[in-house]
Amino acid sequence: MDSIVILFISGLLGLFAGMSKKPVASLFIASFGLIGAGLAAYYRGSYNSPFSSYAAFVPTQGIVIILLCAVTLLALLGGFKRYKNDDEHTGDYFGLILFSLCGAILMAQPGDLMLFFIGLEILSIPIYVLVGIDKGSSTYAEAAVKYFFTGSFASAILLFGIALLYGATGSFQLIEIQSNLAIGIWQSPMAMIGSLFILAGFIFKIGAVPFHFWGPDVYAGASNAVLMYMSTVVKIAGIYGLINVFGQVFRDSYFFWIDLISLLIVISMFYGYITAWKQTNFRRLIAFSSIANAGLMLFALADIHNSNIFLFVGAYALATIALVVINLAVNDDSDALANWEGIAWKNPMIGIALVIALFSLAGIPPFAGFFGKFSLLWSATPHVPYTAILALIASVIGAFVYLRLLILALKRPKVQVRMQLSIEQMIVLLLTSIASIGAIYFI
Amino acid sequence: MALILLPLVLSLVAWLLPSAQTRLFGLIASALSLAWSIVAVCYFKPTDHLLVDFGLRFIRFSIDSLGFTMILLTNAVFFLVFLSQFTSNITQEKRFTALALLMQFGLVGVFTTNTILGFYIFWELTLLPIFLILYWFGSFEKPRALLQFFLYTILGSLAMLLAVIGLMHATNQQTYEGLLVADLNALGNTSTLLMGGFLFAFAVKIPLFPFHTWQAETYTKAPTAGTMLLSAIMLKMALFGLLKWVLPIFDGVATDFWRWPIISLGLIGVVYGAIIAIRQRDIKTLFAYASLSHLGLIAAALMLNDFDTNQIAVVQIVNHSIVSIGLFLAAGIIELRLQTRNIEELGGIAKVAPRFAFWFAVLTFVSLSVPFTAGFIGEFFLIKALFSAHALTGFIASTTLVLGAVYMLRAYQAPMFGPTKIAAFADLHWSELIVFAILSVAAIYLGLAPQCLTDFVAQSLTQPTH
Amino acid sequence: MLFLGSGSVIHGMHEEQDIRKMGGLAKIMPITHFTFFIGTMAISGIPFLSGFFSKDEIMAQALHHNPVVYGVLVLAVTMTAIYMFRLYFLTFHGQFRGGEALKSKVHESGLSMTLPLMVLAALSIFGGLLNLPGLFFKNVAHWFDHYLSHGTFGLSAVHNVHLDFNTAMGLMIFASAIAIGVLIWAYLNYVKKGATAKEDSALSTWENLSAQKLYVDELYHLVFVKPLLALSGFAAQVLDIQILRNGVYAIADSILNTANLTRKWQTGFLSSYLFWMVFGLITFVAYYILKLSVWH
Repeated sequence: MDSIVILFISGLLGLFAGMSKKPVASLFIASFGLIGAGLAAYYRGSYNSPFSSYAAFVPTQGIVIILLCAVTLLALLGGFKRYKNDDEHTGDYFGLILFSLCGAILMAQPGDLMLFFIGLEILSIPIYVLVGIDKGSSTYAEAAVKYFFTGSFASAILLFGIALLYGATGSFQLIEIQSNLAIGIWQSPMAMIGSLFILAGFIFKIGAVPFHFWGPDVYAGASNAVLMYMSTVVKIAGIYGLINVFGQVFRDSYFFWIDLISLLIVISMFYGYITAWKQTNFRRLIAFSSIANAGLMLFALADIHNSNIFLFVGAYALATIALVVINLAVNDDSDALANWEGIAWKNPMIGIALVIALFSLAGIPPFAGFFGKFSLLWSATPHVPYTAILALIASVIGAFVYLRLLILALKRPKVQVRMQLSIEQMIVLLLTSIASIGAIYFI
Repeated sequence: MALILLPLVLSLVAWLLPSAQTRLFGLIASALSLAWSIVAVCYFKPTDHLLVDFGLRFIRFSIDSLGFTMILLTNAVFFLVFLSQFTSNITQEKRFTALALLMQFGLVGVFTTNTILGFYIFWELTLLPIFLILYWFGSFEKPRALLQFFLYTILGSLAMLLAVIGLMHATNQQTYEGLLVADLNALGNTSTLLMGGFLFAFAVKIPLFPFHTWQAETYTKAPTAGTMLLSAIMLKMALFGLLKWVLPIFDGVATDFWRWPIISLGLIGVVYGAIIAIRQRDIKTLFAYASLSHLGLIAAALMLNDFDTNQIAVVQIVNHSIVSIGLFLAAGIIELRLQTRNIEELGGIAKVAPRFAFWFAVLTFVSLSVPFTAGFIGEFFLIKALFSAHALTGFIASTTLVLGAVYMLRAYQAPMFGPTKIAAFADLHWSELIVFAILSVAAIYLGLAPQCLTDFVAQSLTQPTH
Repeated sequence: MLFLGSGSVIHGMHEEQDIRKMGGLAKIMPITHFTFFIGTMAISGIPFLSGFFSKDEIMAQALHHNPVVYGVLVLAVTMTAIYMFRLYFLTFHGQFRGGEALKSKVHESGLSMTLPLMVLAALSIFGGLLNLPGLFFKNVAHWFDHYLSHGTFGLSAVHNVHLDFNTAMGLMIFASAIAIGVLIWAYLNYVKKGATAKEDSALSTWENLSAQKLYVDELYHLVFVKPLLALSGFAAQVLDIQILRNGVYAIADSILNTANLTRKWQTGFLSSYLFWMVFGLITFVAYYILKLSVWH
């Protein structure tokens, strides 16, 4: 709860600071807010919090909050080049992102379905705004509208699922729902269809097949800076929420829904990676790669008692942010992949971060992506062995996609043009690279 | 500890050094690693196991005599590669030096790790540097050939990853010693499947017959240093994995199941590679197919899982490293000086470069398994082992001697003798001369006294239980 | 040694290799002549020279194991003796047939050539004595065998047979008789009768066949070399590149090219997205119904 309060206050302060039209001031306030929220989560319980009476509403683990805050901080720093160009709106951007992060923290590990839904909306609505914040651009508007309509539709489905569940069990409290379902109600059609509708809502949030359609269009339409936040925090919060709800509530109907999850994993991965192969637009490529990665994330549901998603989502977020930062640095106006040719030669930091990020996404050791994938598969394989085999085959196609991007970026240009990165971009690339390598100590 | 981490540290230093010093640094760094490992071997009792622990949960190290042999081989190979490429442009590149040293770290890790996951991680760690080396310094006009290599290796690696996960779950063990005592026969078909996962990864890397299609193209288009690293040491990871991990652990039902399929593939590769090599015009492609032939023989013989044969297989592994460095260096020298590798455009080099002709001839003879060279010991005993398994396998294996003579003599004769087709050819540089001399001395020493190696290695090879 | 000798002759003859143009070289090239003679005798198996003993050993072993092999060997030995003596007599005896111009230039080779010849000739004479089959030097008999079998390379598996004295002597006498008989025949034929090598056109069928090396080279070429090369070309081009490598490419391409199909799913129209979302939801419900029917 403290973290949410800190984020909210710093978001407000950021909005006010935005009026001064000094982007750096907004950045500092937002950064302090994020670091403060992270620290509050880390030291939670070891000091007397003024909000301790509300603590039960936000049972989210400290580590998840820290992860969300850290990823957001990286996204803010990485996108700062874009935000500061738009100095009239910098404060708005930062304020919206911090508010949205409050929602993410609320929904990541909820204790109550109502609160969870509110968190989800708090997370989503600022992002609809962020995507379309540039009123002059028609692509942004298109993306925002698409996201808003599909998003509202998904929210409706989710809400419908919650309602069905409430009808079946008579409670919004996850613990109560669980104990009610456990005595046999889970076999009632209401509970089962409710669980499927809730699943559909979550799958929309993390962007896996068959509710992935908003992904490519919105990613391609949004700015790089917003993409950094949107493609990471939303997915992390979504998958944590999914694990929490399903792991707690629908544990008894595991054998009912696990086959559907397996199916979605396989389709998402193959569809995402294969379609990514033919993309000529960087953000669309990232979108399809994120569909495949969403499929991988669903593996966490295979072993609900012992799901270990932290490393995987962390690695995914680090690599995606690094790639989008690089795209922002070299390719802000146009989004064509062709502009990626030879960019590793423009700056050594870009080269190193790029290699690490792509190898990490491809799941090749010793980078974080591998350890994430390993810890996921480690717990999932005994439960869904055939899905794991198919997922690994799809990963080969994925490796193809990433290596092709790498080959493109590493191509030695005839004329070598040096490029300077701004200081905060250097910091982000350095941090993502170090964290991607350092993940070896987390396993 | 320093034995394992030294290449990594040196690799990082190489990034930071100014480019002007790179050439010398690479040579000194690899020499340092080599010297360190030689000293360490001197203080090492073959019955010992050195345990190294960095506090990681899934990665621990334990160096036994086989591991030491491979470390020594790795460090020697890297030293020789740096030395032999001393005059070429590639060692001037900071990126190459750093990546090669990083790869050395990965290889040393593969040969020393004590946990099955560690084995996988280091196995994959070598992919990154070789990918970049091949891409930056090779002549891949289209990324397709390069991607084919990686498609294959990653597919194999992921099969191995599944097998690793399955093995760890099935046995609840992760260390080498733990897996050795685990009873995998009780798993029945599962153990066969798990072994299949490992074997697929190895079959791609060795490579065995139908999975070799990446090899010729990659070898041909890689820079000479890259080809040497690939064939001299990187492919040995698979044979090492077979020898150290898979065969002892899966001894029993699984090995019995896979024995004849793998032997067949290996022997098909022996004949197939040799037959294709006969007509190749590109000298590097020719050696690539020759490599397919030679390694198929080792893999086939290893599958017999016989204590004596395994020792000889180590000799042959070392010998193949010697031969492949020597031959690819010779091909590289020809390419560097004449900008062609087509042996039909070459001829009469022996007249202008007698020293090169002599040393190339020595390495050719080693590769032909002439008596008193390591190749003779290795091939003779491996073929003998295959004869004792079945007369037909022995017969097929021994065709490597005849066909090997055909293509190797052609590969030597056509460029070196015959009408002079070349304008000028600078004879060996001292660095290349030293490399050839070291290789020849090593091959002959091993040919005369293979016991020093087999006895050393025997300590860590598991005696078969049956 | 015979190679060296013929090398010396050819050198002395100014790179002329055709024996029809030689003859009577014995007087001009005495050392070469003498050593060549010893070599010829040795290889033909004239008693007490090295070839005699080695051949005899082999033939004794052959007889012990298989008489047919022995018969073939006898035939081979006889042939060897015939062609070697023919060569010897044609080259070194009779009249010089190379014309006057060449004759004046023919000379003996230098010491660098003749010295090895002499050493080898000496070895041919005495070398055989080292391995007398237990007849003369019982103690040192077969020491060379023992030397070889000391090696670890499995040669000890080749077991040695000791034939009894009578058979051994009989064999030796028979072999000597062949060799000496051929020597005499050749001497009579080529030196006394002065027969020379015929011109190509005058050859009988049999001789012609022989002149063309019994077409063995061609046969080799046809049976081994050509199929091997063809197989190699086939394996390299068709099997390796077209089937295996392109097969891998084709599989990879066909997988990746499905991207052309899958990307069409992403139409860009909001209505289609909403349609597919509803479709997905219906799929979920269908899954529920399916699952229930499986369970019950």
